[in-house]
Amino acid sequence: MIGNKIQPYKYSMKIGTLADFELSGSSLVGFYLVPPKNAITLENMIMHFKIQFDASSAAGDRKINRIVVTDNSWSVRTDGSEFRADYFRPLTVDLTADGNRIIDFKMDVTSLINKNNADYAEQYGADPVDINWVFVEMPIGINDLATAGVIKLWKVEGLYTTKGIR
Amino acid sequence: MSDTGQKDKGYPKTDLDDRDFDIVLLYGGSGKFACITPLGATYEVYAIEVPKHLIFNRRLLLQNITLGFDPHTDAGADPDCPNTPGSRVPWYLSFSADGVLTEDEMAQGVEFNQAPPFDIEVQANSLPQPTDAGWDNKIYVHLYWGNASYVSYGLPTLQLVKHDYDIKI
Repeated sequence: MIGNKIQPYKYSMKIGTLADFELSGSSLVGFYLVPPKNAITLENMIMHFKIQFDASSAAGDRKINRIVVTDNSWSVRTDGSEFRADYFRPLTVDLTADGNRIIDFKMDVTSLINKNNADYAEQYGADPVDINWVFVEMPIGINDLATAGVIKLWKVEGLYTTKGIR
Repeated sequence: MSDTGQKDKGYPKTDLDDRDFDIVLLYGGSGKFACITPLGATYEVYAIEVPKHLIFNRRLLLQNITLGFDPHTDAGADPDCPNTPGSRVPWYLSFSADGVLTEDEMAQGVEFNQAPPFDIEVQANSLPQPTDAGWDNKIYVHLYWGNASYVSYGLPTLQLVKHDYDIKI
């Protein structure tokens, strides 16, 4: 008789937190949460993002257009067309800043991730590996600002399955 | 039992940890930096003025400077630019007396397919002479690459380093 016993993988939680990061000349900001070296899959991902736009930014640019999870670099051209990576999952959020020029939100991006993209790379560009890279897309006008604002907090939490049986 | 290959060892933990995350800034919109652009033409002709009383062109030494003319096929868009250099393509250098290439002048042309910088030494037999039809005291330099969509960081010009000639006394 063959016994069948479910053997759950070990779970591993990873958290990365960025605080008081001055944003300059970029409308596409990416956060790569480095997985544990023995990760197999990424099961869940949650993020908390808070930005205060600089007073010099145009009121119409104090906005977050989309949250994007991708596996490589990408861009939005001035004509609005896009250069997309192979894996590209955008979610339009259209969040606008409050009277203090702040956008503060928390969301579960699990539905956007590719669970199998849990390869380990110490940093982006080190190796052509499959990663889950979370982007916040702001209007293109942000590109031209020397000081676009300050990312007060960007916390990303990932729940990974890792090698080894519990 | 299956073997997971995991080897847990009881080494003491250090305070140093792997990095937890990496922040990357990308740029929406093209042309933010010095993007390479298509040449937009298939050839370039420009003139080198020579002394009025010149009677014989002996030698011309030109240099394709660092970051000089280096045509490539257009490999299309990347995240930063709408055009990127693909593979290097050959280009041809010829000279004429009147700015219009004849078949003979074209046949004396030289093909280049290498990265700058490099020197180009041109001897008298490849240069236009005052006895040629249409001579107006200029040596016309023709650069031909044949495809307007090719891209190059450097402009299609060559630096004049030395010009040896005979003059009427």
